[in-house]
Amino acid sequence: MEAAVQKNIVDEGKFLTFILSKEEYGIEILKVREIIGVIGITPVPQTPDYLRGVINLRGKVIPIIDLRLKFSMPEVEHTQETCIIVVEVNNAPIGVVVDNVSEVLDIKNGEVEDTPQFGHGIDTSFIMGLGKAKNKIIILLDINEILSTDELEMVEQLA
Amino acid sequence: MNGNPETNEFTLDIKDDSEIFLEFLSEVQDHLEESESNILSIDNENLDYELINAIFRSIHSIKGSAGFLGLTDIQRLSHELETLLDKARKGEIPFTKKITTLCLDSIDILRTLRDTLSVKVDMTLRGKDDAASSTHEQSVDIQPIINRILTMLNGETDTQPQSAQYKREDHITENEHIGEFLVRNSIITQEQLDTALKEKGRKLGEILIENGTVSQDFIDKAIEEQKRSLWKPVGEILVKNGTLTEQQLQEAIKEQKRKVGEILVDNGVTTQENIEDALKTRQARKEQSRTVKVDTDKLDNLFDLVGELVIANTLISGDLKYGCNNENGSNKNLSHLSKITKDIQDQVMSMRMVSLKQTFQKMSRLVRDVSMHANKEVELIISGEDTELDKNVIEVIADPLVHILRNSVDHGIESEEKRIASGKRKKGAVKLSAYHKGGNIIIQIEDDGTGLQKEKILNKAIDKGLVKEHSVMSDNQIYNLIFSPGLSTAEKITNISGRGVGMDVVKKNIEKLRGKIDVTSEEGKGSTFTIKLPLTLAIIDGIVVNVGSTKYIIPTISISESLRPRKEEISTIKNQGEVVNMRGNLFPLVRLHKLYNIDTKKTNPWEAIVVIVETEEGKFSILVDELLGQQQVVIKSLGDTFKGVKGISGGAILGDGKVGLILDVSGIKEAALAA
Repeated sequence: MEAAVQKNIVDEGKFLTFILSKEEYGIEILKVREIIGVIGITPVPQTPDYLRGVINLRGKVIPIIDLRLKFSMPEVEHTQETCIIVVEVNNAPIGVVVDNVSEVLDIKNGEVEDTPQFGHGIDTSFIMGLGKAKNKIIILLDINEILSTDELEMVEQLA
Repeated sequence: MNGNPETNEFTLDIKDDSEIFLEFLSEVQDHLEESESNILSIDNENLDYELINAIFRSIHSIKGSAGFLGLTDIQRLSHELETLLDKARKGEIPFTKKITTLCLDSIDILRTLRDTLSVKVDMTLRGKDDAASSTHEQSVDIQPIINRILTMLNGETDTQPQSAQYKREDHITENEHIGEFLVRNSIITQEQLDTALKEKGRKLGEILIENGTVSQDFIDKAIEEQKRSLWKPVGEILVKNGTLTEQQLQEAIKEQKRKVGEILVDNGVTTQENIEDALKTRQARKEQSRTVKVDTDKLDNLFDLVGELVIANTLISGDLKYGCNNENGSNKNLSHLSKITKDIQDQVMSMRMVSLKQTFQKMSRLVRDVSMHANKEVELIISGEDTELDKNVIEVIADPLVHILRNSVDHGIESEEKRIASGKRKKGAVKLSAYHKGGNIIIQIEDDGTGLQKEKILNKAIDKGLVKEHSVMSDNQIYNLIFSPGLSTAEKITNISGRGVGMDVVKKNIEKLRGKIDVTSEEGKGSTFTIKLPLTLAIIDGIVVNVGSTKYIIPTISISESLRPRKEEISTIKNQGEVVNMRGNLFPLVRLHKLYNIDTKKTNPWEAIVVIVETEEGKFSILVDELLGQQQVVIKSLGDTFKGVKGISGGAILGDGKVGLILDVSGIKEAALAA
C-alpha cells in the first residue's frame, strides 16, 4: 500500500542532479528557482548545525541549509564548485548547499524504483525513489519533506 | 452540503475560479464598509438622499455579483435590503432610526456571510478541505433578518428588540458561532469567551441524539459542517503546528461535548496559550487583506520617477562606456541617480500608507452600538482621520482602539443622571484624534467621563502585589498601572468590558508595533489615552555592532547608552553573573559572544563595548566588540524557519550586501536567563 502511494508521488520528468559526498541526488526541476554560488552567509545563533544561516538574495532574506550536515555527512571545506540551489518550498524560497551540481536528467516513470528499506535508524521518508539513468543511481529527494517548516521547527525546541 | 437545488447550476467551483472569488470578497468588503459608514452618517432628521442612493448602489452590486456566483444567502438578503432602501429613497417609507439599525444589522450579517465564505475560500485554496469547494454558505440563518425587513416593508411596527447586539446574538446562538462572533466583533475578550465556554453545556448535537430527535448521521454531517465553520482552523492550525496529531484532534472532535479548544486543554494535549495563539493566528490570517488601494497620484508619481531612473541609468552607462571625458558630468549624474533612488524609496513607502479613515469610521459604529447597549448618549468626535499610517500598523491598531473606546464609553462616561448631577452635559463626548508629531503618529482617545480613581488603582495594585505598599509613585505612574495584567478597577464588570480587563493586551499589541501608550486622567473630568506609533514598521534606526566577524543591529530606540567600562566597574557575582557598575547603578551583563557562541578576541569588557539597553523589565547591558555606526535599516522577516530563535527579531541587509540580524533586547534577556 505504502509503496503504491510512494510510486504515485514520483512524476516522471526533469530532475536537477547534484553531488553530495560522492552520491548523486536529484530534485524535481520545477522546484528549483536558481543556482547561485556560495555568498556571505550570516549565521543565526541557537539553530541546529545544518541551518547555515541566512543570505541576501536580491533583497530577500532566505534561509540556507547544508544538506551534508542535514544528512549527517562530514562537513567539508567549500570549493569553487560548492553552490546553493534555491528551491521553493511552500511558496518560500530556501537555499540548500550542495557539493556541486551535475546535470538535468529526464527520468521516466519506468526508471524509478521504490526506496528500499534499510532497517532501523535509516530514515528514508524524504526519498521519493531511486532513479536509474545513464547507469547511475540517483536518489530522488522529496525536497518539501526535507525542508518543510514542520521539520525545521525543531529550531523552536532547540532554542 | 448540496445547497438549494436551484443554485446548483450556477455554482462555480472555488478552486477553478479562485480569482473571481477573491475579487468578490474584496469587492464586498469595500461595499460593506462604505455602506456602513454611509449609514452612520445619515442624519435621520435631515435626510440626504444621495447617501441612501450610494448605499443602494453598493448593496445592488453585491447582489449582482453574489447572484452570479450562486451565493443565494447573500443574494437574498441583499435583495431584501435593496428593496427596503429603494422604498426609503423614493420616500415611500420614512427613514427612521429603526431602519438605520436594521440596515446596520443586515450589513453585519452580510459581513458574517462574507467572512464565512472567505474562510472557506482560504481553506480550499490551501487544499485543506476539498469538500468545501461547494460555494453554498450556511453558517448564518438569514431568515430572522429577512423577516424583520419584510415586517418593516409592510409598514408594521417593528416588534423585534431594539438592541442590535441582543438581536445579533439571538440568531447566532443557533449556529454555535456566538463565541467566535462576539470575539470578532470585540464584544467580549478571548478570556471571557474561554470562561464562558467552560461553563457552557454540551453540544446541541449530543442532546439531540439523546432525545432521539436526530440520527447519528445528521450529527456527523453537523460535525462536518463544524469543520467547515470558523472553528475548524483552530484544530487545524494546532495540527500544523505539531501541537497535536490529526488523530488527537479527531478524538477531540468526536468527544465534542464542548468546544474543541477546551477539550484539548482539559486533556492536557495543549495549553490555553496555544489555543489562543492558534485563534490569533487564524484571526490574523483572516483579516490580513491581500490588496491595498493606492492613490493614483502616488502611482503616477512613481511612474515618473521610474522614467527618470531609466534616463539616469542611460546617462551613467553612457559615461562609463565612452570614458569619463567629463568628470563633473558623471558626478552630477550619479548624484541625480541617488536622489531618484531615494525618491523612489519614499514613494514606494508611501504606497504602503493608508489613511485612518476606515478604521475611525468603524469606531463610530462601535461607539454607537456600545452606547446604545449601555443606555447612554455618547457622541464621538473624530479628527485627523486623513492621517496616514503603514497598512500593517493600521491592521493591528484597530483592536486596541476598539478596546479603549469601549472602555471609555462603558466605564469612563457616567450615566446620564450622574452627569447631570455633576453639572456636565447630558450627552457624553469621546474624542478620537490622530496627528503627526516628530516622526511619529499620535492617536488620542479622550473622554469627559469620571476619570480614573487613583486610590482604587493603587490599592488594587498593592493587593495584587504589583506595587509595594509604601512606594512613592507619581500620579501618572499610578494611572499607567491599569496596563498591568489582571488589574481591573471596574466596580462591576459589565458584559461589555471592565476597565483594566485586557488593557495589558492593548499595551502588548501596541508595543508589538514598537509604539507606546500612556494614560492621563483627572478624577471627575475624564481620561486621555495617548498612543504613539512609528510611521512605518518597515524601517528602523539601528546601531550596527559586531561580535567577532558577525554583525548585529541593535534598534536605537532600545539603547540608552554605550560605553567602555573600566576594569573595576565590572564585578562578578558568585563567579557566574556579571554586573556593570555605572555611576552607582548596577546592570547585569550579557555577553553576546557567550550567548550565541561566537568566536571573538575581545572577551574583556574593558577592551570592548558595553551597550546599556532598556526593556520593559528594566535595563541591562550587552557586551559587544565594537560599535560600527548608525544606519537606517529595512526590516526583513527571517521567515518561519527561524521563528523560534530568541533574541533575534529579524534581518536587514547591510552595506556589504550581507544580512545583519536585528537584536530584540527583551528576547536576549530571556535567552540569557534561560541559558
